[in-house]
Amino acid sequence: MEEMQGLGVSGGIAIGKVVCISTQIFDIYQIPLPPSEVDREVERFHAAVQRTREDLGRMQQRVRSELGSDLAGIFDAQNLVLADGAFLDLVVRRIRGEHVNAEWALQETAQEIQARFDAIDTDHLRERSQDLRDVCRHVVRSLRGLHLHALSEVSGDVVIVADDLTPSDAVRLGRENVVGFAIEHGSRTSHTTIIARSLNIPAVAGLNGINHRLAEHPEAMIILDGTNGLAILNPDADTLARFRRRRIEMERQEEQLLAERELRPETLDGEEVRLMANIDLPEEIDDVRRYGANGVGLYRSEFLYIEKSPDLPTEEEHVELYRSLVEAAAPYPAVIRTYDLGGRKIAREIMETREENPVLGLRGIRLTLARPDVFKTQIRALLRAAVFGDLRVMLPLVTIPEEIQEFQSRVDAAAQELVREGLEMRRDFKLGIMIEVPASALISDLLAKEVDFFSIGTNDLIQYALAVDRNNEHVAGLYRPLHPAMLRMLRLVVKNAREAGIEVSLCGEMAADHRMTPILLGCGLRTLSLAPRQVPSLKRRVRELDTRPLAEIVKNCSDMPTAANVREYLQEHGLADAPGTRFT
Amino acid sequence: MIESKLQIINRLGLHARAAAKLVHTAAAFESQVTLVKGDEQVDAKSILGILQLGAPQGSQVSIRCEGKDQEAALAAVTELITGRFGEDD
Repeated sequence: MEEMQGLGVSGGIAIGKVVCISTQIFDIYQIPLPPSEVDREVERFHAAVQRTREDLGRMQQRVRSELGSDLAGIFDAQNLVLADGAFLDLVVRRIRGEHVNAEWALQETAQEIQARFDAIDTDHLRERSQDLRDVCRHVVRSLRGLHLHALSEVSGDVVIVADDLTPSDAVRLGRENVVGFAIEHGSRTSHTTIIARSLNIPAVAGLNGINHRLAEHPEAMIILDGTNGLAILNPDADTLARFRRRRIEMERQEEQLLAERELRPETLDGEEVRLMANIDLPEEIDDVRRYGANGVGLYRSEFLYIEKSPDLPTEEEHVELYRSLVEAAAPYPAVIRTYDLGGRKIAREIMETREENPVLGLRGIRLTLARPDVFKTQIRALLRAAVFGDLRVMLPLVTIPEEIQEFQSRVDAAAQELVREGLEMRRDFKLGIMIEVPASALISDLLAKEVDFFSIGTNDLIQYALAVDRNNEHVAGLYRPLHPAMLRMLRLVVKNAREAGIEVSLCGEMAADHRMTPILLGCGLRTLSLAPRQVPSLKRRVRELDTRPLAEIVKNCSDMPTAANVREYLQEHGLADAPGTRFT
Repeated sequence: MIESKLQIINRLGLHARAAAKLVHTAAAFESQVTLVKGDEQVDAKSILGILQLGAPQGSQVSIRCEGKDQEAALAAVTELITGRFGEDD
C-alpha cells in the first residue's frame, strides 16, 4: 500500500483497476516511401481522417445529449480542423513531395502551424493549439488502426492514470467504465478537470511520479479520493472497506443534494439564514442557481489572475466576469473580493520580491495597494460592472482603517477617469472587508464605521489567532476551530457589526462544517458563504436547529479553557455530532 | 475576381468562434474566398488558415471572391464581418 498526495480537482471517491494511458503523440518515425506507394499512403490518410470525423461526430452527439451543447462545442473546433481542406492539402502535398508516411507528414505540418500560432501576440487568438494536437492524435491513432473504444475490453471499474488528458479523452473515457482520473500533471482549471467535475467523476491531479511507480505494479488497484486529493496504490483490505463505506455514504448524500435545493434555509424557530456561494472559477457560476444558493458571498478574484497567468487579465475580462457573477446572483448580491495574491498563492507576475515569511508579508490589500497600476484595472472594472446589479466589493486582510480610506480614494480617482471617458459606471456599490486578522477582529467596532459589511474569513483568522499552519504536520493538531479564542472573536465581531448596523457574514471553511453550524448561529451569524455544492445539505442542517438556546450555549463555550471542553459540552447538548461532518 | 476592403470591428477579432462562423459562411459558396491581411493571404474556408492570420480587433483585411457566385459570397462574408459576427460588442 502506498499513499500519494495530489490536488483534488473533482470530488468523490473512486476505486478501480489501474489503466495507464500515454497521451503523448505516439513515437512517430519518418519512413521513406517508394514512389509507387505514395498514392496508397494518401488514401490511407484520407480514410483515417474520415474515420476520425465519424468518431468525433459520435462523441459530440453523445456529449450533447448527456452534458448539453456547451461542452459539445469543444468538438466544433476539432471538426472544423478535420474538414479544413487547406490543412489536409498541406499534409497530402508533404506526403507526395517528400515521399514520407502520413503520420510524419501530419506531425510536421501540425508543428509548423503550431509555431505560427505561438507567434501570434494576442492571447485569445492563440489558444487553439490544444484542438490541433487533439485532432492529430486521433488521426494518428486511426492511421494505426487503433480503436477509440478499446478500453471496454477491460472488465470492471477502471481508474485512468495518465500524464495528462485532453478534454475529448476525458469525455470519451468518462462515458466508459472509467470511475476516476489520476493525472500526473494537470491543474484545477484545465478543461479536462472541468469535464471531470461536470461528469461527476473523481479526479486527482498533480500526482508526481505516479506513472513511474505504477510501472512496477501492472495489476494495481487504486483508490482515488478526489475530495481530499489522495491516491492510494494497492490498498489493503481494511483501507478498501473503509473507502467503500465512505463512497456509499457520499453517493447517498449527493442524491439528496439536488432534491433539497428548494428548501428554505429557516431554523425551527423561524430564523432565516442566508446561504451564499463561494466561487473560484467562471465554470462554477451556474452552480449558484443549480444548488439554490442566495447569491455569491465570495468571489475570489485572484483566480482570474491565476487563470490568465503569466498575463494579467484585461479590464474587459474583469468586467465580463463580474457581470456574469452579478447576473447569476440576482436578486441577491455578488460579493467580489479584490485579488488576494501573495501568502501561499502564486503572484509571480505581480510580486517581484521573494519574502522570508510570506504569510506575514505583502499580501491581500497590502499587495493590491502596492501595485496601483495592476489594481487600477480591477477598480475600473468593478465600477463598470456595478451598473449590472448588486455588486459588492470586499477587501482582504485589512488591519488598519487607512487601507480602506486609501482604497476609497483610488476608487474616486478611477471613477473620475471613467466619467471623463464617458463610460458607464456606479460609484455607490457597497464596500466590505474581510475580518481575518485578530487585530481587525479586535477593532471591528472602529472598522465598522468605514464599511457596509464584514465577512469573517475563518481560514486565515484561525491560523493567525492560534499561530498554527494546519499544513504543517508538526502543529496541525493545534489547529482547533473551537478554541475559545476563536469563539470570543466571532462573538465580538458579530456584536460590533450589529451595533454599528452593518451586515456580517462568514465565508471560511467553518461555514460548511455542520458541527459548527449551531456555534455560528449561536454567535449571531445569519449569513454563511460556502462552496455551492455544499449549500443544499447545509440548508437541511439549518432547518433542524433551534437558535433560541444557542446564544447562551456559545457564550458558555467561550468561557471554557480548551477546545476539548467545548466539544464535550456541545455533545452534552446534542450539538456536536451532526451527520455528514468533515470536522477534524 | 471581386474584392472588398474591411476592418475587423468585433472586440475579440478573428478568434476561434468567429473564424468558425467565417468558415461556415464561406463554405456555403462555390467561389474561392480569400482573406488577405498585409502580405499574407489565406483560404477563408480553412479554419487553421484564418487562425494563423491572427487578426485582432482593428485589423484591415481584404476579401477576394472568385467564381460563379462571387457577388453573393462577398456580400455574405461582408455582412458577417461588419455585423461583428453576431457578437454583442
